[in-house]
Amino acid sequence: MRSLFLKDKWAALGAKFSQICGRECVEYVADQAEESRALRSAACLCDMSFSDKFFFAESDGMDFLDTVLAGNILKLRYGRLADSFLARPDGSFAAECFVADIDDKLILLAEDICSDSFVQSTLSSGNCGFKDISADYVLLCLDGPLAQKIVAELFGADIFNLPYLSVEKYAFDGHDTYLFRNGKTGDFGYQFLVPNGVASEFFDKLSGIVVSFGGGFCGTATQFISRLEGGFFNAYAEGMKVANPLELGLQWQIDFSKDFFCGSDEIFKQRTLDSLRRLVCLKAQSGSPAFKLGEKIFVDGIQVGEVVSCGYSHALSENLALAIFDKNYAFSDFDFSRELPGESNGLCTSISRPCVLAKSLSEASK
Amino acid sequence: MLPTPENIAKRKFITDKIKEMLVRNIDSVRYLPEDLHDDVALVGSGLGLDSLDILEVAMFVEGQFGVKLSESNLAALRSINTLADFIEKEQKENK
Repeated sequence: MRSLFLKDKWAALGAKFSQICGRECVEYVADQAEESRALRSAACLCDMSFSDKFFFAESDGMDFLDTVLAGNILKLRYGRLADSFLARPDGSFAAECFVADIDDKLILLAEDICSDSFVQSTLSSGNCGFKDISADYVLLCLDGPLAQKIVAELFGADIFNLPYLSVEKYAFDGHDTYLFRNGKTGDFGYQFLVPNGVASEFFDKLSGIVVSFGGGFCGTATQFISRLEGGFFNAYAEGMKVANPLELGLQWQIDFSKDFFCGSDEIFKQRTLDSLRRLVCLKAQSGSPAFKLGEKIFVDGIQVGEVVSCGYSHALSENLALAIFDKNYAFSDFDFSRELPGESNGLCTSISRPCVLAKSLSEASK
Repeated sequence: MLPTPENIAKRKFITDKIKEMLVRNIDSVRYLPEDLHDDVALVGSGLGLDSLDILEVAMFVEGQFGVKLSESNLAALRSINTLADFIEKEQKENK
């Protein structure tokens, strides 16, 4: 199991550790209600170092990545990020990939759900300056309405000019660190790629600023429910339960005009099918129990859906779920029956995502 | 609301019209209408519409559904679904 480089720092904060696909992660730091409050009202720092991280030479890497990833990597401009995914040859989802073009190289951050080495072996096959830096760098993320001001305090006011899906290099104690603007909660969100050599000092400085702004720390549980609330795809939740990228709603990450990418034959074939299911967000009826993974959803006694991701949203005070639905019923604002233990039945309602109105929307205009 | 065929058809009509418009009128949206998930983000991540595209969407919503988008309800433009919610709500209130 790949351990967290900053484990001691997180342990000192009282973190509870878990693992994702054989990689150590922080599951909780504080009470989840407190974590959620910090994220939605100020900012929350989370360790995403369990994600995979790779460098490629810019010149050859761009052509190569365009042949394997679903999106159009050739259109990626310097200083920007492309959000796409890697599929297996059978078309099933393998990893969400952020590709950044910066500093004469490409940086690929992969949310890899594979239990084997498919992602590493595929990405290393291009002979284009591939380097797996997963164990050499930490990846921290900061999300919340005050995240932008906190990052400005750290790196300077220039960061206010960084648009969504962009990347910039900054020096920290003489080491190159990379700042990505690619949040997945609906609020301002940044990721920091920091070499292990200065990671400890970087964490201390950043966390000091976060606390001074009234923010806090969170684990993956709060980060992931915030993605659900914010309407963002989560490879580590629904991505691990639904194999088909089209059923995951990832069409926007695909360039259908490309001749080929890994898994394209099967994905193009699937695109013509009328039987594709769709993800739908559900909220439980007030007073009814939390959703469970695999729970079935019904209309008039006929199953129309199955829960693939769920959790309690402290921001909304609601039990939420994502369910994979028969597309004929995959619409918002309808009531469905739940499969509950014993004789009891409950209702749930399909709702539109994003479910939260992020405070960053109003903060941005200040 | 119960998912009866009539109720679902009403909702589907709105989301289908929005998707058809996005594919027909917005150059950067190079998809088929059926490729677009109802929760896909319109700006930022997702379809990445710019301010001119958003103006186009607002004009379409007013022309097609008789519903006016103003600065105070721009949050409706977060996804196809949130836009459809807004159109349904406004249509009910204007009846």
